[in-house]
Amino acid sequence: MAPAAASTDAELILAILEHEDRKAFAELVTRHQSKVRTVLRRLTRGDIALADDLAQETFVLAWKNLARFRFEARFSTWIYRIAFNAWQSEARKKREVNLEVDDDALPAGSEAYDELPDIAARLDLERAMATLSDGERAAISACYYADLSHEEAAVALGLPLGTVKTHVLRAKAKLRARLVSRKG
Amino acid sequence: MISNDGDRLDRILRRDARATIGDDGFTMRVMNALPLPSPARYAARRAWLKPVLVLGSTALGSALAWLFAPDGVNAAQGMVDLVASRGLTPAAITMLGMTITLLIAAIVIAVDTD
Repeated sequence: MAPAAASTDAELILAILEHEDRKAFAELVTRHQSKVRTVLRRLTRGDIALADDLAQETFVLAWKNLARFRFEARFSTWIYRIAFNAWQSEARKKREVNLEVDDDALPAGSEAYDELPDIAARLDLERAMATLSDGERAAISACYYADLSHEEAAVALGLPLGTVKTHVLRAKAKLRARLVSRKG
Repeated sequence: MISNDGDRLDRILRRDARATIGDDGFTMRVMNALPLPSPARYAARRAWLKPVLVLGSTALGSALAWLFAPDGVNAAQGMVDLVASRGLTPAAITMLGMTITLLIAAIVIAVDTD
């Protein structure tokens, strides 16, 4: 039985768990690939090849561990947690990932930047994102690109809620400053 | 979801996050990377197949034997002949053969631990 495009994530997951339905899983991947790959591109500082490798690893791990999925949470929250773990594991192979709060001073904010009118501005944002610390980038990726609440982001990243909020505030302050300095 | 809609940076980030990435074969790539179905699960899914094959072929053999048996042979007569200890009549032999065949098939299925 082919999975209907209108099926909910939960219905697709049940089909996978009961019948090992690969078509249902393909539908899940199609639905979530864009967001997962976007989040991972932000986390990997725009390394598209690495981000896609990690996204593939994320979905394969989701397939293997789907029986552990608890239906209280959204599937997207669960898959982002796997994606964040995959990114952290990969980053640890190269260097120590530091998700703790940095003590560097916050740059002064300003409102003198445009709102991404073109590709160049988007690249500016991508470059500005790349300058954030691991924790700040992870927090921004979770809260904006993965569309998670602060609480969900804290769970997905395995960080205290307060740390996530601090990361978001600091990241936004840095981004403001970077975008202003590029414009200026 | 960040609630401060008035923040311009929020809007910038949200707008950037809304940009979608086309699939471009990514789903197929993931599906090709999935592990193959486990042999145990594959076998379990087809556990019904063996009994159906054994019993089906036995039933078919019995039906053919009955079809090509001499005239006047029928199951009821065969049962009557067996009960009356007339085991060498055509009906009794046919009935006995079918019973033994079905019994063997049942034993094969029962002792099959695969």
